[in-house]
Order: sequence, then structure tokens, then C-alpha cells
Amino acid sequence: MEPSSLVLSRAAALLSQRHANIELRWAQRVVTFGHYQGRGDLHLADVLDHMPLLTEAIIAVLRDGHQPDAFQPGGEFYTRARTHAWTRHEQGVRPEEVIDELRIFRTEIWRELRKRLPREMPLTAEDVFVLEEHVNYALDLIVGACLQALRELETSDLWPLPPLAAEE
Amino acid sequence: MAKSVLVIEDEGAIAEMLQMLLADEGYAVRVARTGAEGLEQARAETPDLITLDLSLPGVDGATLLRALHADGGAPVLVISAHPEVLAPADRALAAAVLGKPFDIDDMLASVAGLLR
Repeated sequence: MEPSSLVLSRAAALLSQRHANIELRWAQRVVTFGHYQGRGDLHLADVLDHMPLLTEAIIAVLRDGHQPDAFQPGGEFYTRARTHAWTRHEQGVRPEEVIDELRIFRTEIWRELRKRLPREMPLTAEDVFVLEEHVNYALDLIVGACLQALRELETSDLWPLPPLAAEE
Repeated sequence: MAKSVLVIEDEGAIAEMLQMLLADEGYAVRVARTGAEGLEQARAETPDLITLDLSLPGVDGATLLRALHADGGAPVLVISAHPEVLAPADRALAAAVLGKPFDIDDMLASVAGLLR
């Protein structure tokens, strides 16, 4: 295995092992945002929405390499990101808060990698470059697909929808 | 018999998260969504441990912490995004303090340590 492949496979394994921690830390941070105030009715699954599937997309890129088809319109990961943006829209989350949520997602992904990967293997400069390139490739395409969906919603007659009603 | 934990947390998603994580570890978990409800459950059910959020509707977390301590019941693990709001005297009443966002393993280790 090429040294750069080793760091990517270790990072994929690490994120697979720690994905619940990443997503639950992320959820703890986003519920402090304005749109969640007074929304005690929202379940954890509502808050998480597609985030676990987006983490899986990053893991897939680390494990299998760049996947341009999956991030093309109609592709699996592109569709996951768009669906996430749509669901947030339906939940009454403002687009700028969706962007903030994605920023926190990026932070939490990197926090886990930076904290734990050096404990598992010594990292060379090349390892770091390869890792940065792959993780940011996936994150940037996820954010890009969400932005595209949000932009379309912003300019369509669908915007704004009322927040979801509280459960009966 | 499973140790019991009372989770006092008003954020539905966070309460659900704590309940799920603690139940997975074999604890018997009850949830209270307000300070008043938490105090009532703590007195009625005498749990082995209480986790307490500080930002609660109605009775604030610090007041509740003092009341729980006065009752002399279960140790209290404060879990808060802003633990710094606790005055030193109140902080001393907590068995432990954990900031949000917490790592799952840190939270579970704190709970296990306090129930040992």
C-alpha cells in the first residue's frame, strides 16, 4: 500500500469508528442556533437529518478515492446533500444557518481527525497534504451541492415555507 | 439491578441523545424537561445520578442544583454549554461538570466514575 493510501484508509476507518461522536457533537452545537429555540419538539433524528449520510460520503472518498460521478447532479452524494438542504428548508431553517451548520460539520470532522489520527500513525507532510486534499474535496462538493439547492430555493416561489408545525 | 440516571434537559434532541447513550450502557434512564419536573422526579424516584442542564425553563439550573444538594440525594453531573455561569459556590455542589459539546466517551466515563 502506498504511504498516502495508508493515511486515507486509516482516516476512513477512524471516521467510521467515530462517526456517532462527530454527529452528536455537531448536534449539540447546532441546537444552540436560533431556529431551534422553542423547538423542543424536534427529535434527534430531525436535527441530524442527512448528516450521517454526508459523513459516509466523506468516508467513501477516503476509502475509494475521488468520486466525481457521485457528486455530479443526480449522483448519490450530490442528491444526499441536496436532500439535506431541502429538509432543512422544510424545517424552517434559514439558509445562512444551514451554511453555519455545514461549517460546524467541517470543524467536527477535522477535530476528530486532528485529535486521533496522529495517535494511530506518524504523519508525514505528504500524508497531511493527501488527507487535506481528499477531505476538503468531499466537504467542498457537499457544501457546493447544498448551496446550489439553497440558491434554487431562495430564488423560487417556494421560499419561504413556514416552519414545520409542532407535533400534535 | 441497573443504576438509574435522571436526565434533566429541556432540549428534546439532547435529552434523547443522553437517554439513548446511557440506556445503551445499561442504565435505567428517566428524562425531565423542566426544572420543576426534574426536582419532582428526583424526590419521587431517588435516582443514583442526575445529569443537569443549566439552561432550563422556569427554575434555572443553579437554583435547581442548590435544591437537589439540599435534598441530599444523588450526585449531580452538570452538563452545560455555559458551565462558567455557575458561581464557584454552586459549582462546588456539583459532583462533576462537563461542557457541551461533549465527547460521548467523556460523558460515559464521567457517569461511570460517579456511579462507581
